[in-house]
Amino acid sequence: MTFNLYFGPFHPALKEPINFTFEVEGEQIVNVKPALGYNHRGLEKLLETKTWLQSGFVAEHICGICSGSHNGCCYQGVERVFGIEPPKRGLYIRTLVWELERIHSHLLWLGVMLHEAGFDTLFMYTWRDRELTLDLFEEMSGRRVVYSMNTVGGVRRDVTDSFLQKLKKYCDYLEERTKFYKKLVLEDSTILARFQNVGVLSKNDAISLSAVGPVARASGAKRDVRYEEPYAVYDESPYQIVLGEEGDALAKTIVRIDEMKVSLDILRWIADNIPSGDYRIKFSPMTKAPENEAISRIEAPRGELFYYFKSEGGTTPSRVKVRTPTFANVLPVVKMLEGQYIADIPVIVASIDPCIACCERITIIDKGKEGVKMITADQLRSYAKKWYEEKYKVERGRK
Amino acid sequence: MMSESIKELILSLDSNAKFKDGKDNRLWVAIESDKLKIVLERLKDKGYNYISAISGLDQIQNGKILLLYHIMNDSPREYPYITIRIELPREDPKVSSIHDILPGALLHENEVFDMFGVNFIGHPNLGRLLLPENVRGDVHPLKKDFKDSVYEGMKK
Amino acid sequence: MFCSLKCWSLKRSLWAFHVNTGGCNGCDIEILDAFTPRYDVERFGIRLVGTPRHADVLVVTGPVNSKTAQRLLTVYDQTPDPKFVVAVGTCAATGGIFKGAYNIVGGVDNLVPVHAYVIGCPARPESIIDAIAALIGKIEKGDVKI
Repeated sequence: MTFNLYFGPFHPALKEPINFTFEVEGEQIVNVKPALGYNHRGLEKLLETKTWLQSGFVAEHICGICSGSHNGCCYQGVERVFGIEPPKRGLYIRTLVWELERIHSHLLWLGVMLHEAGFDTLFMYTWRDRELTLDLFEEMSGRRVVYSMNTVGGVRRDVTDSFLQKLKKYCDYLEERTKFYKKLVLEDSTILARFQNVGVLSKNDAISLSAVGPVARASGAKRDVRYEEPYAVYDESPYQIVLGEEGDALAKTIVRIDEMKVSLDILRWIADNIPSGDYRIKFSPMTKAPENEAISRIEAPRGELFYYFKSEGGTTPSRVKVRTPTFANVLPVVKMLEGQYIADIPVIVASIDPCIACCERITIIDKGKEGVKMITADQLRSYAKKWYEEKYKVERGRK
Repeated sequence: MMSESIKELILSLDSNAKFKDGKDNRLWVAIESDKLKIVLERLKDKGYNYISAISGLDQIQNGKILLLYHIMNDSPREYPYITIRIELPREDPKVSSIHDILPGALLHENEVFDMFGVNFIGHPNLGRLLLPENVRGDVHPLKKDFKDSVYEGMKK
Repeated sequence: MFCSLKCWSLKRSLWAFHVNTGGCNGCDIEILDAFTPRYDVERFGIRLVGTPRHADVLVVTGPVNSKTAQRLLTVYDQTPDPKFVVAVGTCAATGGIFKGAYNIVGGVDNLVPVHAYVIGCPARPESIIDAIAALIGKIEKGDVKI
């Protein structure tokens, strides 16, 4: 007999609302149906009414966590429509924003992932380190989270030398911390028990379902826009692709921690090699665009971000298409969830990155008895803890 | 020479295909909508196994809806990215679903149906994805003649 | 007498439930930030709970869109009395940058009564804490109806 298990749409932590319906048989998930749209605001239509310069400010409100990526990717597309090339210093500062944002996003994710596994101490640790990143953002742009650093033809503000010195100190501190996190994740038996062989995505599935970002890379698929199509200054930077093998939750964690280290290397390289000169070129707000279409792709913290612009020669775009990385990762997470246990749902959903994970309210409908049972995310989390305790007790008993 | 073979391959399947070389190694191809499936199938054999997005484009002045399939190849070659463009009539747009070739396209097709009302023949569960369940009928917000007032009534 | 007892019991232990009605996550992570070591509002007895049934305060972020409007009302009904609503961020107050998009209903106060607004895009953790402190002040003075 199968049960239907409704998941979402609201979560107590930070996540976007999403809803999953699980068909379960006993403890195992048979079938998953995602339902999206709780966060749909109609931004693509709204962008058609904004001028080219305004578009980036709207685009960065698509997601507050990767706002710099949306903002930068949008303006990169606008520049391609106009055929503008930003000055070198502007591109360096853009890359700095993107890499700093990747670190902030991965630290945030690492905390939430461990929180889902019941490891709240480390959640507090990573979020404390994340505050330092936000301080840097505040000093650079004036805002902590949605920073509007980019503009058409460069960046909005310059960085100072004292800021770059601070950045280097920050990199040294965070390098030690990433080593500590990696050691902890690889050695702690609780984390290993919860993450190893959970939510496995094979390399073939990752490729055929068009998974993006760390989810694809943890399965061994070489999907990274910085690697495929180096934009901004990535072709000169010490960037290396980070790949995993197993494709389980542990591999996804390790890939993200290693990526933070690569980002730190790039940040250090930027601090040492940033050229002097202009950081933007002048762009008048009411400029009419040529008739053109352009595609802009960048590697956001969660994977490939895709913008398509169509211009019919006006002061506003006639069509903007946005494909966010989480949208591409919905099908892979459905695949990962099939055949897994109810207790692993929070970890698996969180493992693609919490921009979408959402498990606040669950209704279990027993088809046979027509009874309805509600449990919350907290109850599910404690249920998962108990379930694992029982499981390991039984195994220890056997030994 | 590899790139020529890609162009030749598409020409052999659809003799009316039109090409445009874009910046950043992207090839823009316009083909007939009924040739879409076979072209994608053959391109997949060549390694184009990743779909970035399907974007719709409403051209109200010519009475057409354009669909753009952005696909990509992992292995390095001259055209790693291809954008395939097909034209559909604005009245009752129909095209066959490509989820059996590229499973990753499933949700993109749902989104295009939601936003433009394009019917994907053979799609397993074509329905509203982003708009609320109570929005029924021919309401597709990204069409140029979409009126807010029609939607206003349905929101409540 | 009974009212003052209720006020007294509330002011040191406000439990909050967080509802994202279609926002951009910016305010959401700032709310979560307020609960982490640097700001740590748990020292005032405020904590996030996992269900509206345990909550005293609904912390709402983001503009209300047509799909979440009904859900917000459901969550509001599930919250036991006395309940307060804090609208965090410009979007929750007025619709913000998203105003005019087809799927947006508007600010939170179109649907449920709001006791405190926090303005900012996104609102800083300090201002969120300030708003909750102001709410506690209102409860102490008896300015809000319980």
